Amino acid sequence: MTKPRQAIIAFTLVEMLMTLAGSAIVLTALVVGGIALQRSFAAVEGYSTSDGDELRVSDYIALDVRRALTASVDANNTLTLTIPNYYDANNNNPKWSNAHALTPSFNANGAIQYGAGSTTIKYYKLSSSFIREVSGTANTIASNVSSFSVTSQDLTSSVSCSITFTPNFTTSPGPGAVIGTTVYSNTFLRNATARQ
Amino acid sequence: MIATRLGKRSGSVLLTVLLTITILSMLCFTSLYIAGQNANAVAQAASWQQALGGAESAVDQAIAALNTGTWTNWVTLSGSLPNLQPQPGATPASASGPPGANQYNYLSNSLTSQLINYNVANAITTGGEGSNLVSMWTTIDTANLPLDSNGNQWYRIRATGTAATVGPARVSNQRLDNDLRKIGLRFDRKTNNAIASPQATRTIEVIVQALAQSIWVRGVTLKSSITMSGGGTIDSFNSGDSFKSTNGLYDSAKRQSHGDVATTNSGNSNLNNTYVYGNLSYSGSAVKNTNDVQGTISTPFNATIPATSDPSWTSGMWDSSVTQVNGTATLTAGTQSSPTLYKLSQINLSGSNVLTIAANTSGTDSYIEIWVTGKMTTSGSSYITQDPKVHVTYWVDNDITLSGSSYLNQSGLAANVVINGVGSHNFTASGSANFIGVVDAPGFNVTISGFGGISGALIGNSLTISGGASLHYDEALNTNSSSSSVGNYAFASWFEDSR
Repeated sequence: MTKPRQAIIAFTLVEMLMTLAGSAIVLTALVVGGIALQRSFAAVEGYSTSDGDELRVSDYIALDVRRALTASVDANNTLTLTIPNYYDANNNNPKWSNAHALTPSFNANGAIQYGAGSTTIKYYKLSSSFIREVSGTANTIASNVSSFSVTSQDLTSSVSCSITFTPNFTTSPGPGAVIGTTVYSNTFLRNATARQ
Repeated sequence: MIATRLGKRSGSVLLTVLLTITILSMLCFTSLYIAGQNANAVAQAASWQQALGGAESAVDQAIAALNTGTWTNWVTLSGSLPNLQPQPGATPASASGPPGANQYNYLSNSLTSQLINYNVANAITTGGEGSNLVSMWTTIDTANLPLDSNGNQWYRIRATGTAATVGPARVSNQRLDNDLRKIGLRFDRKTNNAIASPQATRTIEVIVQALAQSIWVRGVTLKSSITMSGGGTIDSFNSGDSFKSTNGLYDSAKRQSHGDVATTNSGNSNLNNTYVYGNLSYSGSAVKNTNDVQGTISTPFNATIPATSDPSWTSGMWDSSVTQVNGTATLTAGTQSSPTLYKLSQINLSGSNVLTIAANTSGTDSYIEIWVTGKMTTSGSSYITQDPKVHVTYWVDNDITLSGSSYLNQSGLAANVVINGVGSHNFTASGSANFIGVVDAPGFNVTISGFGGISGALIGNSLTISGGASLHYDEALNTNSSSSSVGNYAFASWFEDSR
């Protein structure tokens, strides 16, 4: 009696090759897709961060220039503004709970004043950070800044600034197709005394 | 029997698929979550900007009310200005003008419910993405500021704009944004009241100053008709600008186009297609033949033209050594603080008579005021000559006739010769000479003829220009900073409350 031959189940070579090829394609697609997804995410995140920085810097400068009493710029491109001491306490970092608006009055020159003196605010680039300094206390308000300049053509009616940001994300090491994004702002000095 | 053995079925493929799907899902979820965070940050930044737009709109509403005197929907409340949004009673008093002391005017179209009788229902709505509703409220008060040197009141405008923030009540992933924008997520930052959805709120405080208005805001202001003929023109120049004048005098090569003409009752006005380099405004019948008006033509023109009146001098104030001028004479001016005053029954120059208005010996600007109760006439080759440093103000109670060589204003500045015509009479400028000065004679019928004309400005009842005569408006006259008449309000101070 012949012992029944045990069936041997296996892929043929062709099946193996096809399986490997298919797997390789799928895995490659997964890896490439995953990397692309991550890069895309990183690019979007970088864009969002840059966009936020640009908006924030522009908004900060506009906020302070509009209420500035004086504006000046030095050789190091530091923009120095003075704003009224509007609050009865803690002008540098006023809180609604503990600082209240002062009543305006005329000064000796017939101009409007609030509290005595003024608060000095400076904007400047420090390394790759952008700084807003209030009465000597510096705060970083943006990063990846490659240049900052203030147009000194007319600081008696408006203040023009340009800030260039280095891209947070590039497709390859080193400068990409876009080496930086430059934001321009031009803000009118609304206080009459600032325009004299 | 042939046994068939199936290979072991392991779950490795299923596990791999599940793991892959899990990883991809986590990647997608993370990406979407962070994308949502970024969208939230952008939405908060956008609403913060919209809130400023709302606050600035509220300031505009306040300035518009002050400038136009239209106080529709405004209410007047008593007391000092509150820190928070006012909450008037059920029937607040409607505002009829700017607030007085210890009062403030209030206008609102707030998101929060307000009483319908003082709530403006037209909040700014937009149809795009993001917040579609911006509301604002504003107050005006005097801030206890004293009157300025012209006797005018400055006002404090405090305006708040609020914009709903689209997205969840979640702080921005842009950490530094939170210091700047201070979005109210669950509670109103100022009132501490719970809010239904996030909102951005910005407050501006503006002090507006009263800008004095010159009565010489245009070249010709009339109460009645204007008739032009001949080759003359009405145009403008600026004696204070070398690009718009030559040595302070009118130069046709530097002609400007602000020779505006306005009449409150045009009657039978006819420009006969003569050139007006400026705008024409009128009320009443349409002005005829206006093809060569180079500016705009508009109607109606509503203005109150103040009447002129004689000076309120009392006996002994004036120099009584001269009571009339009917021949060659000299009148000497005084200082600005103590001008020389003359009250004359007439000025009547004829033949070759010359009236000299001389400066005083101080070498500084000199001032003289002459009240002529009768007629003021120059004819033939007679004339009045005025020293360059002299400023003359006339009040004339009867006809004024400047003919022949007429009037030599050596300063060349129209502001240095002011003729106030009192009552209802006639003013005639004729001949070849050009009169440099201003004429404020709202009751006078004015005739300008010959080849001369007027450099300055004119207020009269009616105006007839003929024979090639012209009127050149001096734009430098529109800077009368000492006027107590308020033209408009402008920013004196601007501050954003960033608490």
